[in-house]
Amino acid sequence: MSVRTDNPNAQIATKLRALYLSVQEEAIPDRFLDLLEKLDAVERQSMPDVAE
Amino acid sequence: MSGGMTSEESSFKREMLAALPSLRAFAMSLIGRHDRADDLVQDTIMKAWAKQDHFEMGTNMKAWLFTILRNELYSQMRKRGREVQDSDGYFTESLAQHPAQYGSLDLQDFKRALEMLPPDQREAIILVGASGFSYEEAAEICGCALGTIKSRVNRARQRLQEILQITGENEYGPDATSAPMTSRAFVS
Repeated sequence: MSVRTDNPNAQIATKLRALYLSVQEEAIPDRFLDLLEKLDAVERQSMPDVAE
Repeated sequence: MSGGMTSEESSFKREMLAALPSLRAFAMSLIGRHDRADDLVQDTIMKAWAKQDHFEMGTNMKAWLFTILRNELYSQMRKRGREVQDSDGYFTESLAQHPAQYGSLDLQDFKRALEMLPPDQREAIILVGASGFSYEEAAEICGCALGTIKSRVNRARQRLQEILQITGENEYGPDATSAPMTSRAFVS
């Protein structure tokens, strides 16, 4: 009935990775794409005199 | 070098983007709630952007961002006056809020078990077991000795095994009505 015969550490590792991947495989939310765009834009505007 | 200032900046941004999915997964595994995790990721992006001069291109962007995120999390928890050890109030809402977030019940049980770990053990096992860092890199990210990380990972594994076994037994709880019938049927 159970799969308890498996190495328990291997089971834990598999579940931990599955949990992690479930978030990692989500698309990057727009809020972060927008944020990076804004940060980049601000930087470009304030950057013309980089000499210093 | 040859690309000049502008291309160096955009490659900073590009590398940051590439690390974001993993950074979100790290935050989510540490905190257990999407809204808080993403707020923390946002704070991390701002912090990292502000100190991008400190980042050396070609070194490990992912490890650098993870370090910033982790430091940010603990400093926020300190500011809020929460004990780092007190995982309770910080995590309890997670399952209620996103009951369908993870495919199987199995993973929800695991998530709950992960949230029961002390934060230092939780981050250690996530960094090594899911984020793909070596023990050495994880030690650097957490600012502790290699041996400390190893023992935290070991304790995390042991604790998870204990918790998950307990959870496994509790699975019979809701079935209390049907279980006796079934066993009686088999016995008699």
